[in-house]
Amino acid sequence: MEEKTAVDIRGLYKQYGNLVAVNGIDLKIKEGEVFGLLGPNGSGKSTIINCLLSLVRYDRGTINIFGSTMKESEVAIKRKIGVIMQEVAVFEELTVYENIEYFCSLYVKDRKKVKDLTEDAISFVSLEDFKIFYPQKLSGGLLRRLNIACGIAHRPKLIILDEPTVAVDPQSRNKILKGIQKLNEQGATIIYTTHYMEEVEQICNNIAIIDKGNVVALGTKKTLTDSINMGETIVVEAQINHAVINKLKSSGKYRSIEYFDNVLKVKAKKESNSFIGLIDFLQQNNVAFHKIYFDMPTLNDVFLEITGKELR
Amino acid sequence: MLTLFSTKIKCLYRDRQSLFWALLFPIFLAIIYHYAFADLGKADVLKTIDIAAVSTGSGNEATLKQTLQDTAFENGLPIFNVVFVDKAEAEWLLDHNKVTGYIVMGEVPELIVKGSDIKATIAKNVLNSYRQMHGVADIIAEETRGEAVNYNAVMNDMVDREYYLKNRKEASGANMDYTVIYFYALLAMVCIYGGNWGLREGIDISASLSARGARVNISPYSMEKLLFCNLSASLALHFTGVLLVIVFMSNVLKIDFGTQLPYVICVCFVGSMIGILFGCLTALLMKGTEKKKDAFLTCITLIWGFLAGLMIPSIKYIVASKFSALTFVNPVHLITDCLYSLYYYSDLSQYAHNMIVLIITAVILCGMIVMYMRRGRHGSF
Repeated sequence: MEEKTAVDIRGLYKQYGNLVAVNGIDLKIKEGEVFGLLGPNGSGKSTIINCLLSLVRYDRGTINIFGSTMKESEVAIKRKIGVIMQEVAVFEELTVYENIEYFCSLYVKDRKKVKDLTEDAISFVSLEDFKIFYPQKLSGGLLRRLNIACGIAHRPKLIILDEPTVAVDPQSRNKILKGIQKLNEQGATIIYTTHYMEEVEQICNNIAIIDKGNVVALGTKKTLTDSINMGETIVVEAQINHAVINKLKSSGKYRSIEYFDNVLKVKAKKESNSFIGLIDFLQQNNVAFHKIYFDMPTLNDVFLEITGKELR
Repeated sequence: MLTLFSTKIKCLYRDRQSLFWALLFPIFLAIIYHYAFADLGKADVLKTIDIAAVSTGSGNEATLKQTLQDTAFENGLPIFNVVFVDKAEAEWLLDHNKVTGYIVMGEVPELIVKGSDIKATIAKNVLNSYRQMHGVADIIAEETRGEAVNYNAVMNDMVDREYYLKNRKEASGANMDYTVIYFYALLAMVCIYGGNWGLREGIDISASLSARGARVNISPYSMEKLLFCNLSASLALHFTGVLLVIVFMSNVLKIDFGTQLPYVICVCFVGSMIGILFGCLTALLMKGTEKKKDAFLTCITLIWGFLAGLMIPSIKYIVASKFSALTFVNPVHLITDCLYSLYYYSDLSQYAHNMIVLIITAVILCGMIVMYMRRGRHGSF
């Protein structure tokens, strides 16, 4: 059965003065997937989201959501979308419950339904004990959870999260990420923008890496990491003399070799047996090591390979 | 819509800072005014002012001389003790504080004073009134049906009552007090201060200005309806605050609003509406950050208040006589003028005239907001 498209962006172009923020990108997001928009700050992620939500008037291109062209006046589509903005957008003068109820009321007319949805959203983000708290009494993590509850209370089919974990402690971050996965399991399509690659790796099925307004890579984590000429990164903790290091470098089998503070870091090429080959080399040269392990290529490596710079 | 309205009311009610500036601060200021000006309006605290007059040989000096000598406070005490000297001697007298000031008589008499104390202010007012007297002589002549105009009687009325038309006030039955001008201007300022409430509503609905604005713009709810709902909530609460200030002024401070309180309430309602609409329009139309808009609104409100006589009452008359067009674009002036006219006159023509201008202003502001919202620019960055 053919998968339905939730969001279809074609040739999206947006320029601010002389700065090209989004340079004619194409993206197709399928229903039910968690789609990650990954890129450094200022890469154009938020502009794409703002265009998608008709908050920004773009210069060229088309945006279709659930088969209809997205416009500022497209009420039916807007009803299906939930947004969690980067900045916390709640009323300081309203309690947790009242905030969620207020934003839910913008989508749902039936008062009883609004109350039920508000209760559901509160339990979804585990804020039951903070219902009557005002936002200024909440910690950063709880505030982010309130922000999420305000965005998802009306049970949208498409949820857009624009860097929802910025300045959040690890515990709250995990809760947020698990919540997003739960929303996806309940059938929502998720668009997740961030500059934290670990988060994208953890929850996204499909990933678009954005740089300077362009999609520089697109695919699953596996296809992206497979697409670059890089194997694992092998780390060895050992005392090694310089002659051995030089010998290893001159072998030409590895992409890069660094040795500092008794830690050898070897980035392998994309070929098999690099790890075993390195162990053999160390044994042949009588190097006793305390610890050896390897990491598979990350999205940061993909970004580095494509753009020549780190993600952050 | 009712849920959104009631939630907005809750939101505004809990905003202690806004409530302080809209309600408690004016009450606090009114109390200060009350004690500061407690005796200002009473003639018995006033004393005869020593003043010099310098002849220039031109203009109707005889009338001015006579007026200066004959003008008196309500209790019969002469306002001026005039000495007629040459300019050099007048300057010497002023330098040595022997006189409050000296008048250079001529076509347009001029007053030279050193300070800005109460005596200097009274002397300035008398001279201003004398100048205006010529301008209104025709109206008076018409009212007196061609009888000879008693300039001194008119002058005395002007000094004591600010307006020559005090004879019309009988039906209102108010006890005339010069200091009410401060309280009226303050009340007008309270109304216009609604601008800050409107500014907040405008910002809360603009995606480019606030995260909350972005959130509501993404929702399917009509932004026109939402803004209407929010502005209505602001108006309801702000106007309630204005009513409380009126109640406090009239019942606690015993400020006299005349006998036509419903009309006072009407003008305050329209004033409050104009304040809120103007603030909202500033948020929507003006480019720049929230701070910039806030600063602009504060500046414009203070300028309006100043020109309406909040700090110096005579400014109001100078503006009205020399830059009358400015009064039409100054809602604070129009509101205070409405209140004065209710206080001073028994007929409502002046009040109605000002109210019509205020209502037209409100309609124009409202129309501009509707047009802006229909263009759909509120959501754009």
